[in-house]
Formats: sequence, C-alpha cells, structure tokens
Amino acid sequence: MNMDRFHSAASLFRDCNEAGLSVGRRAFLSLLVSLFAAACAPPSGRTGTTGGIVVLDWALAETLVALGHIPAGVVAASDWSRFVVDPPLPEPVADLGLQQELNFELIASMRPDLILISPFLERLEPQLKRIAPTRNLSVYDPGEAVLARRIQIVKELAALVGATARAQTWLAQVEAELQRGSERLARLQKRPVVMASFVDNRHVRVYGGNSLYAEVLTRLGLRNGWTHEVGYFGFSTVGIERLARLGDIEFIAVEPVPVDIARALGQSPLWQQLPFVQRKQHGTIAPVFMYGGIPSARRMASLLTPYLESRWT
Amino acid sequence: MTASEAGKTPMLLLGAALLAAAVLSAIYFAAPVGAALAGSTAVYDAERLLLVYSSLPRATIALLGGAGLALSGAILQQVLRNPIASPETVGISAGARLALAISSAFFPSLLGFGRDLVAFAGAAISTGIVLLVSRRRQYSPLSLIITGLLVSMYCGALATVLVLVKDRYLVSLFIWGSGSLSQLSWQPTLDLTLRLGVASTVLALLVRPLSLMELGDDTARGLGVPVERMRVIAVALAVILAASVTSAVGMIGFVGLAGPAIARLSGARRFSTRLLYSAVFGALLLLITDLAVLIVAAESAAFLPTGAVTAILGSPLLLLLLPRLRGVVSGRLPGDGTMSTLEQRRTSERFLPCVVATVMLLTGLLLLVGRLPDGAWSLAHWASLEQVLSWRVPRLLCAAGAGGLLAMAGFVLQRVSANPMASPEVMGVSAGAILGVAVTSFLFPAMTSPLGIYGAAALGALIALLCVMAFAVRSSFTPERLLLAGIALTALVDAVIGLLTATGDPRAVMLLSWLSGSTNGASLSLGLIAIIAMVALSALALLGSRWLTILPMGVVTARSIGVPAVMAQSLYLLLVALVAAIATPIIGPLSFIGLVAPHFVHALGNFTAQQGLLLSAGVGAVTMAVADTLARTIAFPLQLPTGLMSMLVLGPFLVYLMARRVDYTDVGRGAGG
Repeated sequence: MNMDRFHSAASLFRDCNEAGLSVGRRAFLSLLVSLFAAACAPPSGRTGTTGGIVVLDWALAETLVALGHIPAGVVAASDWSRFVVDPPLPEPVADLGLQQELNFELIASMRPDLILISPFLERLEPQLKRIAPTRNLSVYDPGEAVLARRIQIVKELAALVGATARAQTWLAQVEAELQRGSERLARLQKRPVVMASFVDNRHVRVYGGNSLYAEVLTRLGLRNGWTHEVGYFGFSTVGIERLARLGDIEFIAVEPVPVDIARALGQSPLWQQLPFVQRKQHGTIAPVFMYGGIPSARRMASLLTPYLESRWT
Repeated sequence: MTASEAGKTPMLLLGAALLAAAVLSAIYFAAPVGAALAGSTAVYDAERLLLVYSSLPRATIALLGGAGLALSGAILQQVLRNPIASPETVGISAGARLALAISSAFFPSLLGFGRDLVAFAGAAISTGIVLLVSRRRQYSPLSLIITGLLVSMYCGALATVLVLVKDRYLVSLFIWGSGSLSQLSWQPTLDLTLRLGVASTVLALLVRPLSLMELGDDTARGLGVPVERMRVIAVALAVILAASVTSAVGMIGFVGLAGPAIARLSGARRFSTRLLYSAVFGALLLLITDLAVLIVAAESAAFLPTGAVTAILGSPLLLLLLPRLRGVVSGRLPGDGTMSTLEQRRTSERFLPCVVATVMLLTGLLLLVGRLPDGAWSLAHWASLEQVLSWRVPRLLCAAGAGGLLAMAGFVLQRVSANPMASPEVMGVSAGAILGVAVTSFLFPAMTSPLGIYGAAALGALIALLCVMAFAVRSSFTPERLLLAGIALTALVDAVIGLLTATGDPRAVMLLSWLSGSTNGASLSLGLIAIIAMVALSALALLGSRWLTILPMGVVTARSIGVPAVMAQSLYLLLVALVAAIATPIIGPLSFIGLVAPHFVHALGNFTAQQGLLLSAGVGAVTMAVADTLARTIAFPLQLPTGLMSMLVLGPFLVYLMARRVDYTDVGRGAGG
C-alpha cells in the first residue's frame, strides 16, 4: 500500500477542508486536463468483430460448435480444453471470463445479435437483454429424460442459426453412432459400469439417475453399477470406501484425475482388494463435460465403446 | 465448588461422553464386527474389508484428530491466557487450509510429499501475523481473537477467489475444507500418530514451565521461565499439532475450542490435568460426532463432512463461552481527538459540499478507466459514453452506495459501542442475509427470481439481527461481546455454506459468487436506491450527532449528562441493521469497508462526530468505487466480485491499522484476567 500517496491525499483533503479548493486546485486541474486529453484521443487497438452469438453456457456452446456455427464469445474459453476438449473451440472465439461474474462491458462491446444462457444466469437476464435478445435454454430438466431434452436443445439451436438440415443429419449420425456402439458392445460379455470422477485422494463422485454419463450408459445398452440414490444433478459425492460393496463392475474414472490419487490408492489395502481392482476392471477415460449436451454424450460414447472393447471379450 | 463436587463433575462428564461414544459405536460397529467374528466363506468379504481398512482407521483418526486439536487449543489458551483461543480462532486452521488450496491450485506436485510442510507453512504464517499484531497489546484476549477471526476470514476469502478462478468443477477444495474423515487405509492414521506422538513428547517436557505461565509473565519470569521464548515454542507446538490434523483430514471446526472448554468446565485446575482432559474430551467429541454423522447419513446421497458438522455445532459454543472473556477492548476511537473537550466544533459550511464534490470527482474519474476487448488499458472517450453509462455507472453507484452505507454504519457502530473494531459486517447481520439465501436456494431449487432472493436475504438479516439484539440486551450491550457474537454467527454461516457447497451442486458456485459480493446484478435503479439510502440514512444518523459525540464516553457518563443511552444505542443498532439489509445483497458480507473506513477518516485528521460520519460515508463510497474499478479491470477478461476485491485490498490495511493505529488497552475486570 502506498502510504505516501495516502498521506498526500489526506493533506489535500485537509487543504480542501480548511481553505476551499485553493491549494489543491492546480493539481486537480492539471490531472483533469491530462485525463481529458487522453479521453479525446482517438480509440486505438479496438479489435474483434461485432455481431454473432455470445454463449454463456458450455453445453449450449459445444452444441453450436458441433452444428458448425462459431460463436462470437464463450465464457471461460481458456478452460475449455481442460473440461470439454472435443469439439475444440474454434480460434476466433473470444474468452468472456467467468460465468459466475459476467463481464457485461466486454459482452456489450462485441455487439452480439443473440445471447444464449442457461437457467443459472436467469437472474441476470434483464441486464443481458439490454445488450441483445437473450434466450434461456435449459439442457437440464429433472422431469425429462436427459438425452431427449438435449436433442430438443440441438433442434432449437439449429433453428436459431439456420442449420436445421445439418442438425437433422448430425443427430441421425449421432443416433447411428450410439446404435453402432451398443451393437458392438452387445457382442461382449457385459458388466455393470460405474462412472466416477476422483474429487481428491479420498472421495469420488459417482453418477447415476439423470446424469449425462448414466444416460449414455443406458443408450449403449450398459447397466449402471451405481444404484444408490443420487443428488439433484445426478451424481453424489462419496468416500472411496463406499465402492467396497460394489460387486462385479467395470469402474471408469473420467479425467482430470488429481495428482496425489495414485499414491493414496497404492497405499490402500482396501482399494487393492476391491474386486474390480483385483480383476483389473478399472481405468480412466479422457475428460467428458459432465454438464454437457449431445456433443459430450457423443464424445463419451466414442471414448467408452473402444475402451470397453479393449477390455471385455 | 467444593472439592468433592470438583471430583465428581469430570467423572460425570467423562462418563456421559464415554457412554455416548460406546452406544454409538455399538450401533455402528455391531453388525460388521459380528459378521467379521462369525467369519465368512466368501473370497471377498466387503464388510470385513470396510471394517478393517475404513471404519476402524476412521474411528482412530477421529480420536487422534480430536485429541490433537484439543491439545493445540489447550496450549494456546494457556500461553495466551485466553479462554477462547483455539486453532480456529487464532487463524491456524484457516492458514493451513489456504496454503493447501494454493498449492493444489498452482503447485499440485507439492502435495504428493510436502503436504504437511505446506500446511505447516501456511498455518505458521497466518498465526505469526495474528500474534505479531496482538503482541503489542500483550496478547490481549479480545484483540487476539478478533485479529485471529479476521485473518481467518481473509484466508477464506482468498481461497474463495481460487475456487472461482481455478476450480471450476472440482470441488475438492470444499470437501477437503469442510473436513471429511473418510479413510482408505491406516497410512494417514499412522502418519498422524507419529506426528502427534512427537509433539506430545515435546509437550510433556514443557508442562512444568508452561504451568508456571499461568501465574502471569512477571511471576513466571521470576521463577526462571524464559517467558517469551516459551510462548513462541508453545505456539509453534500448537501450530504443528493443529496443522498436522488439518493436513490429514481438513478443517474440523471448533473441536479445538470445545475440548479445552469441557475440560475447564469439568473443573480441571492444573495445566497437566487440563491437557489430559482436553485431549480425552476432544477425542471423544470428534468420535461421537463422526459416528452420529455416519449413522444418520448412512447411504443417503447427501455428502455430510464431519468437520462442517462440528463447526455448525461448535459456533454456538463460542457464544456460550463469551462471558468467560475478561479483557475489554477499549481506548481511543477513530476521530476521538476532539472528545476530551465537549466542545462541538461547528462544522464549516464548506465541509459538506467539499466532501460531496471530492467523492463525485474521484468516482467520476474511476468511471473513465476501462479495458478494451484486446485487454489494453484505456480511458473512456466520448464514443464509449454509452458503454460507460449503461455498464459502469450502475455498478459503480451500487458499489459506492453500499460502501458509503456500510462505512457510515461502521462509524456509527464504533461510536455507539465505544469499540474501534465494530462494524456491520462483523456484527453478523450480513451473514444472516447470506444464510437466508443459501437455505432458500437449496430448499427451493426452482426459485431463482430476484424478488425471492432479496426477500430471503432480508428475512435472514432480520433473524440474525434479532438474535444479536437479544444477545446484546442480555449482555447489556457490552460492545465486544456483541462483536464476537457477530463473528461467531459469521463462522456458523461459513460452516453451513461449506456444508452446502461440499455437495458439489452447481447452485453452490452461484451462491459463492453472491457471497463474494458480486455487482453483476447491478441496475441503475438499484444503484440509485443505494445512493439515496446512503444520503437519507446518513441524514437520519446525523440527527443524533450529539449522542454520537457523547456515547463513546460510556453509558454512565452519557446518562449523567442526560443522554438516554440505551434508547440511543437501540435506535442506532436498528439503523445499522437497516443498512446491512440494504447493502449486503449488493456488496456481500465480506467487504471490511465498514470496519476500515472510519479508521481511514481518523488517519485524515481529527473531526467532530458530524464531520466524521460524513467523511466515513465519503471514504467508504470512494474506496468501494476503487475496489469496483479494480474488480472490473485487474484480471481482464475475468471480472472479479467487488466485495471480495475490497476485502483483499483492505485486509492488509486492516492488519496494519490493528497493529499501529488502534490503541487497545486491557482493562482487567477481575483480578488475574
């Protein structure tokens, strides 16, 4: 903290208090003049294009990208490659910063034609509407089947960007892929699958119910090995020891995996003796966005099918 | 208490605790132990495996962790002569947690082998800061606890920023932070046993000199105890004990406070007895809580970390223990200079316009600062007038209005309670507002309307206010009690939020941004409301400026010159509550502005109560405007929450103020405080 400046401000204030603006006036005026000069200088360095769609939710963004539309900007674009991975975010997409703390000024300066949000940003809809028409689309609805809802989202987004035909072929393609995947797996000796992500070296999230992971398992004709109750968003966080009562299952952890996990599991006789560890029925697959849309579902199926084929006979 | 009673109480308490632990253990362990004894023919016996490698190490680490934390608390209470010192209240746990959070976000490879070292380093730094600040006050109990809790809040805020920026969908920091006792092997238990064993051996060697410190520094010195060195060694030992536990199982709230408290309650007089009892009660306490959590939560989908549960159960304990604090924070208030003479300097006619003009000029200049889409810094030009008006003005008005309100309330509160460390944020009213929103958004997930959210906030603030007021009336407005009551409430809120967020629910992330004082929801009308409220409530507060001049001199003096002290205090508390209910939803509960702004004003010079109030509001508005400008530009394109930014900027200043400016003196109420 710059105390000199603080004290000079203090003395300035005292002057101001006791003798009006007489002493500080010159300093203030010169500051004002310099600021004014800077303010009047022509704007420089302004880059970026205007128009386009700004997407404040990754599930919607990945769906748009999959439909061949490049959004003008996406929140937290810099983290995309860690959590969503595929489809990759095309190059000219602007990073809009945190989803929890929207940079309205930046969004407004892009002059988008349309803003897409999910219900979590509903409270900010009035502000966003001042920038551009805003559509609130939920990829998630506890009352509705996960994939059905997301297919609906694909259609709605396709209608927005005029890619209805493309969406139809793409959806058919995804459908066919899922079908092929389930046929390929049907030939194998299947086991129930437990999808999980390691949270730290003692806890996992396991997916069930209405989560994207669980739904993809079902579509591939697999049984979900986690049959316990899960939370509102289709997963629950449990201690790793809770996996002990699982019988003959295939355990698949979705990356990213914390660094110290291998050491902790290596030290654990409990983990070592788990049936699926003993029989080497465990492994990891590359990241799949757990709150994602159809592209994430497709990615998961495309990762899971060859993975299981390589492990099952 | 007679000798026989003193002998019975600990046995009674101990018996009760043992019985509870035994009953719960029987409930929890009966089936698996029975099955294990019966023997199973299956190749894989899940129940036996769980019993041997999870349940038993978990119970053991609960006992060890509880004992370690309680020992740490008992040592701290002894050498700091402070009945509510504990790893949580002097900043050990929060420092360890922050250090581990930083390393897991930026240097994850450090955690593999140096986990404990990282935790020690963090705990040592935060505790060092707390002790350095309070050393000048001879570790005055209140200034120590207040500093400790503020440093803890600060560490918590930094960890929140990390989560916001780095930890998008991984909630590991939260789960770890809220203290789950889940175990997979005996390894962590063995590691912790080793560490606690070494620390306890050292402690055993120090029991005698540490016991002597009870007699006061001078007497102990006379008896040949190197008091200063011994205090440093003992605190280091306490840090090692608590940081080892934190590193192994995360934040376990308030066991370090409760263990020694029960030990005292059971009449343990000698330090060595107290250490033993503390360890035993701490161990049993954590075991009982953990077993209860295991039995209740069993197979449910909700994740219930034991550490968060103890924190929720423990924060009211802090309230119960407050009457045991004997030290009083008193002394020079900010702007006290003119108080010795009762003469009210007439406020110059130029004063108000001058303050208003300066505030408007400074905030106006801040409006010009921004960044272009490519990240370059820029000053606004006429072409971007619309951008400035529609985006910067509303949030700046909101921030400045809320900042001014809180600062004004802080000034009022510090005067009314004659306490230089009072402020609406630490009074717990803001925390109540957040709790209202948290509970509502989790009970009614479908409700996202702003009206509902603000309603929940107001309701929460009101309930918190009523609680604190009831407490205030009972303790006849003893200012420092009020303050700590608020901090205890804030700790409770922290625990509840930690519990809710540990579930990994995406709503928790949104709640977190709300908690961190986001001005994202700012609209021009909200900004205008904030500004108008600031002006109106300041004017209202000025009506009683004579009271504000006289009340800091104490209730008795005030009464003797005809000021209705209790009524004045009640009216002003109501005003403060109103301020908190308006300002918290805008800027969050963690800005520190209400605490710091009056001290800034003090640094500017000596002013009358009237001038001080106006200046506080002005300084608060400008400071918050600066925080808002920083929040919007500093990490572009990321935008940070304004309230959190203000806390990060003001936090170090606060520590500086506490170390240098505010003059505390300890006035022992009873002998041997």
